[in-house]
Amino acid sequence: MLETFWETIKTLAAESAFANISWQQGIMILLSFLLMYLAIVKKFEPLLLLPIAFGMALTNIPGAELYHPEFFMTGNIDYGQVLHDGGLLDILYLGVKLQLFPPLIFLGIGTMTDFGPLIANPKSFLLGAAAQAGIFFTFIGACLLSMTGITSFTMEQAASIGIIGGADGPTAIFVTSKLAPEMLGSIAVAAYSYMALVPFIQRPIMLALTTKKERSIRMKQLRTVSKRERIIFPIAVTILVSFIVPDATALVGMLMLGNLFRESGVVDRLVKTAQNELMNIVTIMLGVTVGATATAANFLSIETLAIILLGLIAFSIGTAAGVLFAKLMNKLSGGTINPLIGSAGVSAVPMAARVSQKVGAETDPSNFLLMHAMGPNVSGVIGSAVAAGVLLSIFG
Amino acid sequence: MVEIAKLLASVTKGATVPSEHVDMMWSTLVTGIVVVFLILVLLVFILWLMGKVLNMNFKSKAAAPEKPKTAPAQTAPVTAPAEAESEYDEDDSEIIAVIAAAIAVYGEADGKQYKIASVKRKEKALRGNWSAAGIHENTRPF
Repeated sequence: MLETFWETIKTLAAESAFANISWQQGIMILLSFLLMYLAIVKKFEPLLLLPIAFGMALTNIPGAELYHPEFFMTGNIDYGQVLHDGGLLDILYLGVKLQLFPPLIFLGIGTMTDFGPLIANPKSFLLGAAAQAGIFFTFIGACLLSMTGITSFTMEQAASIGIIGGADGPTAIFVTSKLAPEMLGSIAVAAYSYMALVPFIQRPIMLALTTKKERSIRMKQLRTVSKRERIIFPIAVTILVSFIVPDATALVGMLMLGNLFRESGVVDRLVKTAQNELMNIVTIMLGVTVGATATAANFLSIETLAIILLGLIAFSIGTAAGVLFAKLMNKLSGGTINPLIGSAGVSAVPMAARVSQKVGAETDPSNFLLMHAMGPNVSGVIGSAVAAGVLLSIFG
Repeated sequence: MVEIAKLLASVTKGATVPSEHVDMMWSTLVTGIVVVFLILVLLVFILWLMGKVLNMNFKSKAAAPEKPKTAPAQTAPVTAPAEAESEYDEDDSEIIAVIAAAIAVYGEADGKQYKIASVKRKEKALRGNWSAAGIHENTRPF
């Protein structure tokens, strides 16, 4: 009996993760601890970064077989195999792979978004468009890096890196899961980390590109928006955007459906579900599975470093483009637009708008830019979804 | 720009983006920015139009009931604040009483007696104190 016991112990030890772990997996698990620290202690987008970090730890435990990247790397996924042999995270990952989760998150975001400031000041849309420049210039940057031989990004991968500049996690995941699924982990981590760092990234750029006089410009109070306008808005946006860029329909359509739920005022129960239970459930599954794609083989590479660097550049260019475009609008409108609201065109809602408010208040504490910045901010969400649609229609 | 990129691609080795893709790269940049702007400019126009059309009704309704302004010049000693009148509704008499009392307190401290010449409602403030405080509260963490 003692021998059987000893044999069992020996088998268990041989099969245990301790015996089979590679140094790369060890580093990934330590890295996941760092991300957990950032999420819990530093409050870096904890709602997503915490499940992402834990998913990263789970996927790198040898022998657990929770996630098999090889199932999803082939052009034609054998869904039978995924369901038959897949682990927990393989099954959950289907929601990312089949592009279910990001649009559902957008549904929830739609129920929580007030497009009033945008409807009251439609010119804000231009700032939301200008800030998307970061996406396309970073795409060029990633292509050029590959041309010089430093990295080896394909065009699809370059497009996925560029979308980090949209400052919109679900959009970045949506595009990457289709164009470059092997980079999903790195891109999601970069996107969510930078979204948490928006105040630190944007502030110096905003200060460098504006004068004190410009920062203290007070903007005219926004007009009130009627309920009828609020109801027509999501319908009009969906029809227009989807007709021109059908690839953006899933994201924009769900965002606007959520908003229509909210503004119609007749489906309170659906609004509550979409913005609480549904959103939370999807966030858990999205986070943990996106984290799971960060296997050591995928994550520990020079490409990940390049992605992190390019992501920062994307954010910075987007911010700068927004501020510069707002300066231009300010000149053309005869000094009625505070250029600080331009940086809110990157879509990190409502963080980017709060940064505009904060930087404006540093110059003049009684100047309230928050509502003015919310216009470009929510238009940035639509802008990055459109940009995602464009990239998918070119490379998808 | 296309030439520069082609040149760059030709002089560097180990290129993984073939130089024939260079055209595509720049066309993606241009297409992307143009399409995003085009759609959002269209949305600006549609929203502007929607605002104009839907607010036409409101404006015509709002223009009608505008009351002619009456001269609010009223004099009253602080000891008789109730006499002060206002061009606004009845409830204002309470507010005027409070204002008069406050002025009386200040007057007492200074050893002077003030007269209220008129009570006029200030142009509507950009943002009320309460909503200003609310915004301040919401944006304080930064």
